[in-house]
Amino acid sequence: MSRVSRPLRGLVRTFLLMDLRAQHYSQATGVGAGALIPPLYWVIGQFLTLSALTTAALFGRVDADFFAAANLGVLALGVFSAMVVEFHEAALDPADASVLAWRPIPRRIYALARMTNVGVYVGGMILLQTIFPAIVGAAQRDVGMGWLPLYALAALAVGGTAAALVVLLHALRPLSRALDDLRTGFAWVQIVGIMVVFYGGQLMLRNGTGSLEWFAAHPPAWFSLMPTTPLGGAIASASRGGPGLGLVAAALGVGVLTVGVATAQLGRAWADLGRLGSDTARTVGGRLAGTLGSGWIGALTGSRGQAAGLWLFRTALLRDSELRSRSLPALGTGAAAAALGVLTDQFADPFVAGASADVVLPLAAIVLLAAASPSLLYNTLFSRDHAAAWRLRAAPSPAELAEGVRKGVALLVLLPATLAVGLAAQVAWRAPLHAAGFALGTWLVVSLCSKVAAANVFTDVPLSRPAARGGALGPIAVLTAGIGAVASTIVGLLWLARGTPALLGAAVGALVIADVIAGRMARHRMARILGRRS
Amino acid sequence: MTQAQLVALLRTPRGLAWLVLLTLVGAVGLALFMAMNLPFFEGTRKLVYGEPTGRTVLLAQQLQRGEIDAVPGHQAQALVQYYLADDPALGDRSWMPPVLAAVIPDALADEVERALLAGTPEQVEDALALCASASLQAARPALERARARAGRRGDDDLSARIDGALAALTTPRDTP
Repeated sequence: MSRVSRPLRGLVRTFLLMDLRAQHYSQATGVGAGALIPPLYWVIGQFLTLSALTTAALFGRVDADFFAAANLGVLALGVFSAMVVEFHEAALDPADASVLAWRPIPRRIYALARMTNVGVYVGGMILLQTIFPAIVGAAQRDVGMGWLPLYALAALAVGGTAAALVVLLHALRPLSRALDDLRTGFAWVQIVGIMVVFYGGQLMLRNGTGSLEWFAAHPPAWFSLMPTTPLGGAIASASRGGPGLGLVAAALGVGVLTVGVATAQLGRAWADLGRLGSDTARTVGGRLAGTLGSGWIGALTGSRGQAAGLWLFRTALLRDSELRSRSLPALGTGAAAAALGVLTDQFADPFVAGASADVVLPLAAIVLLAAASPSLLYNTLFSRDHAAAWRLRAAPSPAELAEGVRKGVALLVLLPATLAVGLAAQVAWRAPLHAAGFALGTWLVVSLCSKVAAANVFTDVPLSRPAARGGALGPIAVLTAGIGAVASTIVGLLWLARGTPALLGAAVGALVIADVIAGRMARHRMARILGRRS
Repeated sequence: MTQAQLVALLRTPRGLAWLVLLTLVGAVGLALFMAMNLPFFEGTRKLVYGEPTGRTVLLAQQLQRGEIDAVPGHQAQALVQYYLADDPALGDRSWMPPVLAAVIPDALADEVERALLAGTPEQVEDALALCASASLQAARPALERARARAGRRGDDDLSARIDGALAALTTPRDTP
């Protein structure tokens, strides 16, 4: 007995202690590794807040079946998102293999320890999101004495099923990769949920049109199709002594079954890990991104160093979901301006429109796209594989690498975004020549600004720093503001010159010359700084 | 316990476990407090009818004079809310129920149900009176749903009043 229980107890204790200080939610909670209160505690607070706000918004306003269905839906979403964010370490950590694989730990003991760890974790999440609806819901006028135990059992079934589904989805490799990509997004589910319930709830309650009560009384078809909807009705009905007990029992059965299958799947996954080892698993799982010999990379770059930089950036962008989630949101404001303009018919053609407010959004889209370049470039300094950056520092010319990364950002991120803005212009104006001119002007401004930004951002070798959580924009705030001001001035001058072809031609010519000069200055500055550093 | 001791405690797993436990106890306390204050939450239900626009007032006047026999769909709800608004400055609107029931029965039934779902007790009373005075047959399904809801909630008083409104719909009105 002790041969089994001792490693089990040791593993469970270690896993639980590690979870207490886990940092997976540090970005969404804004809490660093050194903080007194760890991110996990704030996640607990977020779950409680979301559940309390949902309960408060629905209590005394809607029927008990909608109350139960909505709260169970929020619970399922919360558990699912938390499992996606935490799954690797809470249920199956590939890094375990390098530490534990050579020890005589039977596969079933490891699986049991991991499932216990996940069980404590999921049980905690279910408890956090059950306290308010179970206790407060029991005071509703249309429920009976059985509400609290029935709701608690249903919450256990829904939460267990959601958690087990994530384990099973991870068993399918393509889905596993997709979940990895969505990980950072899912970390924000609670925050977004709290904002939606807090602000949306206020809007609904204050407008005095009874839209919340109307929605609950006449839910749309998609709400009726959710599995939690009939379950909510069954809880409310069974609590009053009516039918529904069978459905709650069936939900529990489904929960037990999926958790059982997930446990077996974890055991098999552990056996695979034991064979592969963590590093092998990582390499096999990563995406291949072509090679340095690719023809197009050589054509776009002036040297082998630049080609290496561009290839490295492209590979990092494809493989590193954190790099994508840190960088790409910078394009969001420009995209939002363009989308808002097109959708609300405020995206007027600046070549023909007068001094109308409708040209503000297309011009703003250019400025916002240009102002995104400092953030995009700055984030290429960070990488989850930063420990290998000594190889880059030892390169013949780190400055050429940086120039390659800059070209990567410009050609693989900013150029497609510019083309998308041009496409939006074509959709709005139905004038291909004007849209092409608009896209060309956008690209000239964006390219110039990205070169100015690169000269100031690359104070270190790209991909060489550990990800700085919560500090992605702080050090470049002034630079971003400056780039925005420069871009605004250039766009304003281009707009003033639009009516006179000669003047517009001269302005475009000046922009091209400025672009070439800025490129040379940026390379010179990077060579000076990075040469000294390395 | 000094601040330094508290900080030292929070840096240990035991301290964090205590913090989580205290949070859970606080959450249970708050949940119990909310549960004991159901009347407060129910009291926050209230429909707010905004100031009628000039277009709505004009439409109502035209309806009263019998100049139109159809109302644009987007104006129907505003017209019903014009009738339901608790504002004496809007003048006598007692002529409206039968006219609205004839011209926009579905919009009227929807607003009746909205009041039954989300209105104050006074607004619910007004809605029931409207059904009876307008002999609004289109509101029968909404009234039946409200009757079932009131039954589930054990609200005998409201059940009786809804039964009264349903009975008024069943009974043929005396023709003048």
